[in-house]
Amino acid sequence: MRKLFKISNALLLLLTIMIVACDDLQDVKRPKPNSGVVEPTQLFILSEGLFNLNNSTLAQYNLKTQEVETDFFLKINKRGLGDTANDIAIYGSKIYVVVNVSSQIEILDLKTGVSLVQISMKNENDIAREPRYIDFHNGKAYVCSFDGTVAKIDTTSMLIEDYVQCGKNPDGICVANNKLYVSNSGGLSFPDYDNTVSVIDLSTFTEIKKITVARNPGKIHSDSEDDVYVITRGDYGATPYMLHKINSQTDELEESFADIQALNFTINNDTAYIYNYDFSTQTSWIKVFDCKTDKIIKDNFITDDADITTPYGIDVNPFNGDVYITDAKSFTVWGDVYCFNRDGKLRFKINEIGLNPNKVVFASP
Amino acid sequence: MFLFDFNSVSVRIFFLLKVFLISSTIIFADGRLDTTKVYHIEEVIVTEQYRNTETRSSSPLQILSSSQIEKLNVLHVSDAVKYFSGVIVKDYGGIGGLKTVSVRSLGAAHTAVSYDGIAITDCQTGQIDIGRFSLDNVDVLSLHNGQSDNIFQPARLFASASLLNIRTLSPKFAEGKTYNGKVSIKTGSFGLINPSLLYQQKINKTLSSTLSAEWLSAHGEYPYVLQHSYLGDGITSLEKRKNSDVKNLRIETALHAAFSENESANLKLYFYNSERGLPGGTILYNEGAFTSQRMWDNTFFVQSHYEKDFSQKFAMQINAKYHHGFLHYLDTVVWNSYGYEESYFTQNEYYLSASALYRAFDKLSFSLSTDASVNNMFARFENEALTNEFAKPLRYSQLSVLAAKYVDNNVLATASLLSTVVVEKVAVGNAAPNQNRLSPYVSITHKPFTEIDLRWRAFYKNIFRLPTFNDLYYARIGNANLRPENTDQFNIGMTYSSDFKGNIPQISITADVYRNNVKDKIVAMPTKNLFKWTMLNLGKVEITGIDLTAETHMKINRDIAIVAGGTYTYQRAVDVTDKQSSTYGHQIPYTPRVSGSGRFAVETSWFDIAYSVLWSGKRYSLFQNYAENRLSGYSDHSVSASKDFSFKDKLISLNLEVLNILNENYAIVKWFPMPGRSVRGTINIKF
Repeated sequence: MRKLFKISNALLLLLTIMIVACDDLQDVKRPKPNSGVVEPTQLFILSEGLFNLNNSTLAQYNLKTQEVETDFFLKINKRGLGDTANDIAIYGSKIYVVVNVSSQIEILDLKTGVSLVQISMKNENDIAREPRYIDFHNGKAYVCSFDGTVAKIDTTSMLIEDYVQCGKNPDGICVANNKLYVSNSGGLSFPDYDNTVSVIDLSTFTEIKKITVARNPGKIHSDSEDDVYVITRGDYGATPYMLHKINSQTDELEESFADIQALNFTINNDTAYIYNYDFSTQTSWIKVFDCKTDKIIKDNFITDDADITTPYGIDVNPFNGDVYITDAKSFTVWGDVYCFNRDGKLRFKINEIGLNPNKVVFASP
Repeated sequence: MFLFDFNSVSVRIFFLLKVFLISSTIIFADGRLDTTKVYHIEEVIVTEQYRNTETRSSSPLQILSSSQIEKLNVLHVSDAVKYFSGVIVKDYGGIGGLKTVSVRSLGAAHTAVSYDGIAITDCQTGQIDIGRFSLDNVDVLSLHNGQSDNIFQPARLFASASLLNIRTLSPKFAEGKTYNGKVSIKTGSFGLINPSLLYQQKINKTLSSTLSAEWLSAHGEYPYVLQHSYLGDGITSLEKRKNSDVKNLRIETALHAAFSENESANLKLYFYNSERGLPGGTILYNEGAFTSQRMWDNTFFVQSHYEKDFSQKFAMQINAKYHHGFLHYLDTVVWNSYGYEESYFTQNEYYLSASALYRAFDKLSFSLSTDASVNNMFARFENEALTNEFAKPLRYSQLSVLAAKYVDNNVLATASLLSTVVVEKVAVGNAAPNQNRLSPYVSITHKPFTEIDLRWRAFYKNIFRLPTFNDLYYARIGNANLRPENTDQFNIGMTYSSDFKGNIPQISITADVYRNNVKDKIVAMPTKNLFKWTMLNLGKVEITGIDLTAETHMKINRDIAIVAGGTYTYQRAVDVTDKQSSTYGHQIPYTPRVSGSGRFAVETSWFDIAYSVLWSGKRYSLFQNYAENRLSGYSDHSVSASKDFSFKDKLISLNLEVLNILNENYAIVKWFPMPGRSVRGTINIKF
């Protein structure tokens, strides 16, 4: 019997040691981002995370104090942003975050980051609308969703006032000439993509026209002359990406730039920064386009040897014209943000700020 | 002199000792006739405890018999398999959720699952959902790392990195009985209703039949605590798992023929039909997500086995199978132009295998086995363009194995060489390149001391797995140029088993250290379009691990016995694809560094009590071991009490289980919560 006790005690001790001591798996710590650049800008970097992992994050980086918070939203609100945050914008004293798969819009106070309201985007049958992009005009916010609608939200009361129906799976929205232009991608019906841009009159908030462009329209922006530029993504295969221009006076497709096969772009002060990313060859290019002359003015934007693996978001700091490009790398690892000056010289790089960083917005600190 | 061929999968090993005294003349050296009396001895059947098979095997082998499974408080085969060492069961939660098994971090597609000796194949996903298999008519579950020591088996069973065997009860009738029956009713939390029937009939001296039928339904709406932070430390809310219901029906029937001691055959039919909701991962702030996805599936197969010992030197077996699988998926809430998404998938397999065993010498035998199979797949979608684009693959495979086995009193060694030839054709698009590969295997176990049951063992195996039809041809995502995933396994271990008499407990212990290398690992990479991923041969993984198992059986007195066991696994499975990559050296997703299980049961003449526990260390849901990706470790404790009694010459057993006593809402896959505390009750009537 004593032998039995000795054996069982030894085994129990061994077992305890094994359970407690042997989990040598540790979290790997990322080094704190340090841009080395001090200037009066506050960056908010939105990362969408991966589908079904509820891991969207909002990073805050104060370039004046060099303080970084990798998930500013989580820290202040004690909960995550949700699943696949797709767009972010600063309007007035508030930050608006559009969370696609969680189907909600978070409106935060710009100074404190406290969530003022969580607008759940569900229709009358309690089915998620799946919001995608946001734009603003005259105190109203306009959000387009995959269910084919655009919601009009009052930015003071933060309540949804009205909806208008557009085409299939809107995936881009911009304001020009007192109208809304919405890209109807039809992406959820692939291979039967949609190929139109809806025009919505903002006084009546009704759809007045659908302009035919090309298959799978996406990002859409306007310039100071109220010209609307839209990118169509084709079928990610045989049909190439393309940049198009719509005249907002006539609401006609004015030009399709067959040689500008760009995937994504942004416009600041009539200069468009456009990039292409080819999924099959995994190569990319970044060019600069002048919206007034409608010509490429720089064939290779980056003038030094910064090597971006997978450009994913492109934004311009309105305060000083710096161009920020996010790098999603392999889509399953934490991505980086590059900051270039307008001449394409790298100013700094922020390493591993979030999983699939997709947009950077700017505030004065 | 003693010729035996043991099937290491059986619970009881029947040694047929045929002792022939040579009745004709034995001539002494001096020419006199020996007039020794001739005795004929009756056939002796020796029953051996299963656990000795585990310690005698030249590659790690773990066995769970039906009596052990009863004490584990488990419902499906997938729950029982979690109690094996070195195993990760990816359980998506709920009674009807998907459950696949990966052994020693190689991935679920490297684990072969065989049902009564014949492999189950799913060419579409490459993984078998073991949550579908009921334990109701299971006799033994066994897990082999590498392959079995039994070289007399179909070639397919040599062709995977690991093999999970499910063996069902074969009819055995007690003296004077011509039938056996068991009616069972299980009920439990979340609307579980599970009646089943098992009936065995002895038709005549040669033939017997079995029938097994089972129905299971549950509404699956279990409550769980939802963490609103991916770090696990934020606001929480109490939610109910929706769309997690399941209904399934299983009917199996078999005909067994024992023509003589040397010749036997069986024929089995299996039919399974289920409908279930696919609850998906919880999406924060959008609880309604995935509540509209449903799945129906049907499985039907017919298989037969024929075996004959032609002489003491030569035996042969033939196996044949037809398998038909059907899957219907529907999502009624999709913002596409149809308003819904629907897919129908059909798979067929035609399989024929012949194996021959040649017992060349006393201690050395050889086998040759060859399998031929044809697999095809059809698909239909709500979108006609997708339907027309579907590849409709057709795969011809031919596997041949030449194996050898040496057995003497101290050594058991096996070696095999597998040849795989695969020819693939498609109706649309490009077919995967044909394959022609050789895969070797060697193993050895040695018992250095005659008095102590201590052995050391080692094995090496090189094997690959073909890309699945989904990897190759799935609409827009598949990559027809994928290479097979290649694995090399090295294992060294020791086993010990004691056979003390009296009140000293019987103990058996196995300890193995292993190293596995995976090359050309097939990885899915997402693209900007959330719905478009692409498959690539991207990875190299290095896995180093330790597997420990221990089991003890103590008889306290005439009325009380204690049975206890445990497993412990240490796995260091790291990505070594690219030194510059930010994932280099990180533990691969969903693989804990440490995990284990324990079971403890007290068997008395009046009642039985059983306790079981599963625990796991932390894991990561993505490729980088960052805090944001972390899933904390967990422990799942269950306890049960059961009582048997006779009533009017029927044996009735009552069993009450409380599962997940600590009510931990852990998740094996991030955002797929497991049910908390629940109860289950069973009544069995055996007649």
